[in-house]
Amino acid sequence: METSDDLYLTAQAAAGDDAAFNVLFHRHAPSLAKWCAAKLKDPALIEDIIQETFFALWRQAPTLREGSIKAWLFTVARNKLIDALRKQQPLVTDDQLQQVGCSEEPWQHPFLEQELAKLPSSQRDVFLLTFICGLSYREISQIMDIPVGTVKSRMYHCRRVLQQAWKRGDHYAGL
Amino acid sequence: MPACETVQELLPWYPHGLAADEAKLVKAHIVHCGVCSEDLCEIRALRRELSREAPVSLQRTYQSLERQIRRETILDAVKAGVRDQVYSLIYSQLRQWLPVKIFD
Repeated sequence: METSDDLYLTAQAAAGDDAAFNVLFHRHAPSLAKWCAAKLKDPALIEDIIQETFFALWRQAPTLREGSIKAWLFTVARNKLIDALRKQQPLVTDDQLQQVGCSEEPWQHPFLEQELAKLPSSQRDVFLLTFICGLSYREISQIMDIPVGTVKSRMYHCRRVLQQAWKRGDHYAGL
Repeated sequence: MPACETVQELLPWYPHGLAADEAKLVKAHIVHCGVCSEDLCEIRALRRELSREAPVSLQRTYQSLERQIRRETILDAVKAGVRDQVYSLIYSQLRQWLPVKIFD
């Protein structure tokens, strides 16, 4: 339902309807910001990424007639996030880049931070996009360009790691 | 009733990240399965744990985005050589910036 409504609002925004664009921004910007905040410490940089992502939506709105606008926004934001991390560390490889994102995660709860930091970024992203951003596994599949089966298996692995750490004697802070 | 394995694969996305038939299948299962029901509690707790807001000002971001869009709209009109539209856009900008009703 939200997907078709998003497409309608995007078409309206493309026709110059500021109110429709405003609704799209306030519907999706909070979860985009949460996701970026799990990767970056700098609020100004996060705001820049959000602004650039929605500016791209404004520019591309006339061409977006099908699919999930939410997934499109996260795909654009993901690319901008990777660019931002590259600019911070211009000489690192892709693999090292994942570690940069990992080491900067400003989690409030040590248990989650420690356990998630041990996971490869590809698995951690599935976890973050699910639990922080509330995306469906189909949307995550589209954003990360991986099969839905891979999304499910990465999530399964993440959850097993967290559960095993819990059983070892660690605990979920505040749960 | 579907197997626990099938349901557990879907649980992290229950209920809003699933298709209606998948959500229905999960719901029917957890009513009768203590293990999956407990798993769902754990997932909900995780979601609560991670539900904090990002430390950014979305209001400021939106205002900045609006300025960027207005600027680009004017530049697009200039590039396209649509002089009337350029004047109209600048005029509407001035109306917003100047509180005094000098244009009425």
